[in-house]
Amino acid sequence: MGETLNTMARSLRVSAWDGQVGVLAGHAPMIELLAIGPTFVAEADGAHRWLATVNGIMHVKRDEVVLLVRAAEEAPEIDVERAQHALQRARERLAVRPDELDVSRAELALARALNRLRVAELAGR
Amino acid sequence: MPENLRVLRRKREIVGEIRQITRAMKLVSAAKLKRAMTWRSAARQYTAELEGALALVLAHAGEIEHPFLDHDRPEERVGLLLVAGDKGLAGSFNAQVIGQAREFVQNTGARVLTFAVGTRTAEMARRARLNVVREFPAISEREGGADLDAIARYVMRSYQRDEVQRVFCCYSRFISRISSTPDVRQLLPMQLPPVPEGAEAPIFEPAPAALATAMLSQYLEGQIFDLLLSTAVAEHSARLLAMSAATDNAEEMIGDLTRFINRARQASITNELLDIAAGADALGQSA
Repeated sequence: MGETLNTMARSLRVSAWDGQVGVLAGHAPMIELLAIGPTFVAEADGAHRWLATVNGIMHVKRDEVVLLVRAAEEAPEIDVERAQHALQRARERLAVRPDELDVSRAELALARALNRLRVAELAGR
Repeated sequence: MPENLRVLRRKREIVGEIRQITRAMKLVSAAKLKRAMTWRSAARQYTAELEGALALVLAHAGEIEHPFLDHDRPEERVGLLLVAGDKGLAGSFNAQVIGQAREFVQNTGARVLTFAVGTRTAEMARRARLNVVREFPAISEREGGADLDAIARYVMRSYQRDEVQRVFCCYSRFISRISSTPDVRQLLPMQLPPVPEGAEAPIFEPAPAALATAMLSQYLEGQIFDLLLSTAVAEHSARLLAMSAATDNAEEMIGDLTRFINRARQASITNELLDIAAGADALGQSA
């Protein structure tokens, strides 16, 4: 909860509603809807960061980019084992489909787990 | 030792123990308050950014149609999200919020369904004869995210399924560390942020109307979160105040008891001296 990352970036790549979107310095102001997916930040000092982000929006301003997302986790903080368990559980639930199953919720859990695993992999963990 | 003195000493001991407990609780409240305030300022920053972006989108979206913005639905049933403290020992904090909720129910023409956040809140609400239809666990100290999701989802769903036509939130509005006030705010249909005039249009992806629609639930969630955190901050400051006052009172009582004890001890010494003197006198006379 709160601010996950506050940094000087050279560029970033986000998972937008209709695919990957890259933002470089000097990008025109923009408000873009985001999906669940990896977010990549190339920092000014050359370091790379991967984050697993969930929905929300990206607001590109003149000299600042604000990501307002429902959840964000940096790659080193991702608990891979837990994500694998969550993935398995979501898959099972969606396969069996018990009556009381909230399908959209189960699908969301599946997407979030996949996202975490993917980000961990992209970050070379 | 005379009986009276023993009783007074025991009393002072007990008050001393109570003072230790209230002092510890005061310190705990102070730490929790600090953490809740940090959360709240982060949440405020988030909602302010979101509100700014949404206002910009709305400025270019034209008329948007969405159930969350439909203010013309007939009002038969009203949902009331009730947020109070989930622990006691905070003075009249909970009672005030519940009182506000009762007043709201009495002044509303429609049937009110209460969604309580926190077991204790639900219990107090039932005792106050509020119609509690759903109970959520209090938002946890460590991870607010999942709990908030559940609350926001439920509120939106019962509105979308027309189980309620309006949703309000009864919470405690934090004003300062020494003051907060119970308040009722409308959640649904939503009140939108004022639209800036003549704002330069950024690029919108997707088109503003679709973007605005997609942002509504995120904005509502942000508002609910803000009210939950405001209440948490108000609760911790109320408890800090209550425990501070309790500690001060205990100290004052210990002072009073110490004075009584000294006086009683002095009196008993005087009595003993008088006895001895009288005894010596009697012995002297008989000799």
